Amino acid sequence: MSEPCSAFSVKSADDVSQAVREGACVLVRGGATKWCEPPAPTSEWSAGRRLAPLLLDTRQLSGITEYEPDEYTFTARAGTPLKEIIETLGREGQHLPFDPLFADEGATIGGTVATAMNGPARLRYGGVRDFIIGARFVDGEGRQLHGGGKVVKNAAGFDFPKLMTGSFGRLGVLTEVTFKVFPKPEARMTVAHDAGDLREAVDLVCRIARGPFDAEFIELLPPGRVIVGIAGHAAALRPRHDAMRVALGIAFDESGIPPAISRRSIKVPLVPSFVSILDAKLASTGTVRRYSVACNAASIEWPQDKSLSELDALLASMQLGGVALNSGRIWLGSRTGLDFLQRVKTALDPQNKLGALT
Amino acid sequence: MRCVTFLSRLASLIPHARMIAGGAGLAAYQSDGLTAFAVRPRAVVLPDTADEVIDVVRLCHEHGVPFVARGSGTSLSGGSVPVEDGIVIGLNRMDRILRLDPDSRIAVVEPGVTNLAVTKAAAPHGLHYAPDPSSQQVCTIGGNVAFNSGGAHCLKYGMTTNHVLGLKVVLADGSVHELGGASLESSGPDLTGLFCGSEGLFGIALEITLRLLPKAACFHTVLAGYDTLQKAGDTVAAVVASGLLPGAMEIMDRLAMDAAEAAVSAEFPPGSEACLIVELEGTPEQVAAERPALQKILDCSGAIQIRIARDAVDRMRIWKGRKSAFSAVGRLSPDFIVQDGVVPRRALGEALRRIGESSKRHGLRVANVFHAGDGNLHPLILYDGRIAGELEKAEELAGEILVMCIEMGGSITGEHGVGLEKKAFLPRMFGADDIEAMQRVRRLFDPKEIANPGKMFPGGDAPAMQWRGLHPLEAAGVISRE
Repeated sequence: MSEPCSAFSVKSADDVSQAVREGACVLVRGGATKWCEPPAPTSEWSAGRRLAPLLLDTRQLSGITEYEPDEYTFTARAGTPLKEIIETLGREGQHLPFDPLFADEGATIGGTVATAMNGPARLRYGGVRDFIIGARFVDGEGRQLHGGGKVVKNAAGFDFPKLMTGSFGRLGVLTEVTFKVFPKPEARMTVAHDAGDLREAVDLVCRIARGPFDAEFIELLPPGRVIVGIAGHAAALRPRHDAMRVALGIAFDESGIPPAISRRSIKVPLVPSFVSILDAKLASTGTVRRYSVACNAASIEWPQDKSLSELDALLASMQLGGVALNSGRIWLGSRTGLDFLQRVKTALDPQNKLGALT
Repeated sequence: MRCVTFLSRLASLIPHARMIAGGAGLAAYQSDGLTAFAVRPRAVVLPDTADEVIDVVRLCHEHGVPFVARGSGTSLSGGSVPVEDGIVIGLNRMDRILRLDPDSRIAVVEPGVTNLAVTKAAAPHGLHYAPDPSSQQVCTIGGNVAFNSGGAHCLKYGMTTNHVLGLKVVLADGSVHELGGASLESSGPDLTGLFCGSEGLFGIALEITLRLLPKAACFHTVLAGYDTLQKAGDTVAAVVASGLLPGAMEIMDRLAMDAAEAAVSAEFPPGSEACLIVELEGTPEQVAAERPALQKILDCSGAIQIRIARDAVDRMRIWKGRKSAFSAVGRLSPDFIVQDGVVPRRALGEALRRIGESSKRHGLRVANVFHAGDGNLHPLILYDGRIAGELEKAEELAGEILVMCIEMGGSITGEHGVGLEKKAFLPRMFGADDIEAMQRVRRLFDPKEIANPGKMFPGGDAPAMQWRGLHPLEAAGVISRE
């Protein structure tokens, strides 16, 4: 689809404010690794308002503004490439423990927050929502707001930073974010076990997840391959692996790291008991499936020749929701809290300038 | 007339035995852990079910009567102090654990379930609920959610909000919503995260889905004594810089140690001005590998004495000494105020020096116990409320500490919430537009501003402060202000 909007490169929060105030509809794009193409101009845009929709490109709104390794915190402008952040933290032996996705492809920290996309290692300490501690953003009226703070512990005011997580720019345009970071594990080890069938594999995933093994990630590739990562002190990895093997009474092979999450993947949050049911329905459609974060998210690649509406209906019938990337739409299936969310939208974007919640 | 109609309709919703509408029974609800404030509510209801809560909230909305949800009343920021002419919805009877699923590692609980009850229920499955405020024996999950409570393990594990996956809530307008779910992952903006820490201003959580974690297999707990607070603080910085990620790092000063020692025998290092507790936890293999690194740091830290917990019993003794410090301070002073401002870790030494100066200037003793790993101070300002002007002096000193925390780039609250106590300081952390945006969100959930009004945001009528002495549970040593 051709871009229906005029692109506008923002360099500051003031630029974003101005764009939001002057624009009729504002959509945000960083590295475009999770890009959801804007819909064609609707009658709402073209008839009701004269101005064309505006596409804000945040890549010039870039740079780490503060980094305090001893405080375990950094602040960066929204368009800062993840790669730059990962490298900067790495030089100090630190990292973002939720395995941020698509860094090599050009993803930005703002897009990572807006889409709440986590990698497999979010299992151990939490996801984007658990490490974001502050945010500056521009609301649908062009006001520059901030929530949270710059210290690792803070309970003052409503938690707007968390609200921005997963909002896809619909509640505000992020301009700056502050994160808590952790020391980077000295070494990693990845092992795998073929459990035979899916049911056995899910059972194994649950046993590992609730055991005292401190797994960094547990991924399931159907039908039965379970991949486990452990991370920490180098000298302890082998003994930790041996202890886990003995406790579980199974053998692991030393496999490489699990395959990367695809940029076309659709995230379906779920719980382990739903895996078999969903998998049975998806298997016949030719969908590539993977169960991530100890079976807390299906990561699926829906066949390109199939309509997303079909998946939407399938997920809705199971009361599951989904988030699609690079697919032309964002939210699929069942949506919880939509009325609650609509009220938040009314408070922060009363003129509906920042795109629809559907 | 309006009042009579409201109360009679309330009485039709809640059986007589679970409603208090006058007399001495109301006194028990007029205050919470911040004992300097007291307001007698119009009535108290004790619902048994979520449906009863929803009915009561809808009635309040219809009549425009303010309500304050309350668990065990342990808020240290005055978060559950009643509102004049309003009612209290006491949730302690809703203490059922609705579901515990070890495979999904979740517990679905009602708001009146106590923090410790969750961990007890999870223990047979090798799991635990990580947030551990010191009042965990009695404080409820509903209150923990409302105020985003913390504890001693926040650097590594986060606060309450990091352990809440889903919520069923009734908003102040009586509408019921489900937010989040049972999965660690979610789709859409993080509404659960917005509700956590909203201090009861949106409505009441009816069902809470909590994330449980596997219990660590191994702990290594060290108590180190220092001749200055500065050295203890520097050691924390050295541990952080080393790349270790301890489960907890806590510091106590001399006054706090003396109080705790008198209450429980924790064997604090004699002759020291400060002590540091560091705890490594994880798999036995990982802890064994990390121990030498920690030991090396402590050996070079100028510690007067280093004591390693010999076994689980000894470890509990050290923690008991730490966790009893607050109630123990009650032995040193008829009353005290606890602050919980946060400063960047590098500013800890400077913050403590300035607190010491303020203490001298005001002529009030201050004991310091703090979560050093995350820069969360807990200065205990000792005063005697029976002496005219002392409470005001203590409040002034507390205010100075909050302003200092903001100036240092920190926060006015790490885990107690803003509540009544710190609402005047919120505008120092946030701009007028930020606060107005928060108010806009709130008014769409609570158009009549009846849910816990008068908390968090500046302005409005605040109840007068008065001397109340220790909280009854505190005097009994059951809860402590942390």
